[in-house]
Amino acid sequence: MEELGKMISIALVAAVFGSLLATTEKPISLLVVLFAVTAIGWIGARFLIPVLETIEMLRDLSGISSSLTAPLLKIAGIGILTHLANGVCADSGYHSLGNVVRQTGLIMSVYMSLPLVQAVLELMKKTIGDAA
Amino acid sequence: MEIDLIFKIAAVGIVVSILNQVLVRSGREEQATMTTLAALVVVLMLVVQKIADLFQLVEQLFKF
Repeated sequence: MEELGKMISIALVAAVFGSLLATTEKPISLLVVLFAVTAIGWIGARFLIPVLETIEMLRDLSGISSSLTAPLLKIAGIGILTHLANGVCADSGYHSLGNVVRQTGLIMSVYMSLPLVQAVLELMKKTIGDAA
Repeated sequence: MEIDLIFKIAAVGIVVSILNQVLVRSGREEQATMTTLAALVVVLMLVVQKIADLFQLVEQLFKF
C-alpha cells in the first residue's frame, strides 16, 4: 500500500516539524499540522470514493429511495468534518472552540435526520390509523 | 496534493523563527512581530486553499 506509507510519512514529518516550530512559531507549527491533516484527508478521500459508489450501487439494487439514504451520507460527512476541525482546535489549545464545533455538528446532524424521523412518524401514524 | 508544501511551510517557519530571534535581539520587536504576521498570512494563504479543496471534495462525496 503506497498510500499507507505516504500517509505515515506525512504524519511523521508534520509531527517533527510541528514540534520543532512549536516553541518559537506556534501558529506556523499549527498550520504545518493543519496541512498534514488536509493532505492525509485527501488520501483518505481517494479510498472513500469506491466505498460510496458501492453504497450507491447497493441502494439502487435494493430500491431504497435516495431521499432516505442522502441524510445518512450527509451526517457521515458532517461527522468527518467536525471531528477533523475539533481535533485541530484541540491541538491549538482551544478546546472550547472544538467543543462548539462538535456540538454544532451534532445539532446539524439531528437537523439532517429530521426527514427520516418525519418519515418514520408518518409511517407510524398510517399504521396506527389503519389498525384503528 | 503536493506533499512538498509541508517542507515549504516548515522552511518558512524556520526562516521566520531565525529572523524573529535576530530582530528581537537587535531591539526591533515591532518588525519581528510584523515579520511573523506576514509569514503567517503567506502560509495561511497556502493552506486555506487546500483546506477549501478538501471541504469541497467531502461536500461532493457526501452530496451536501
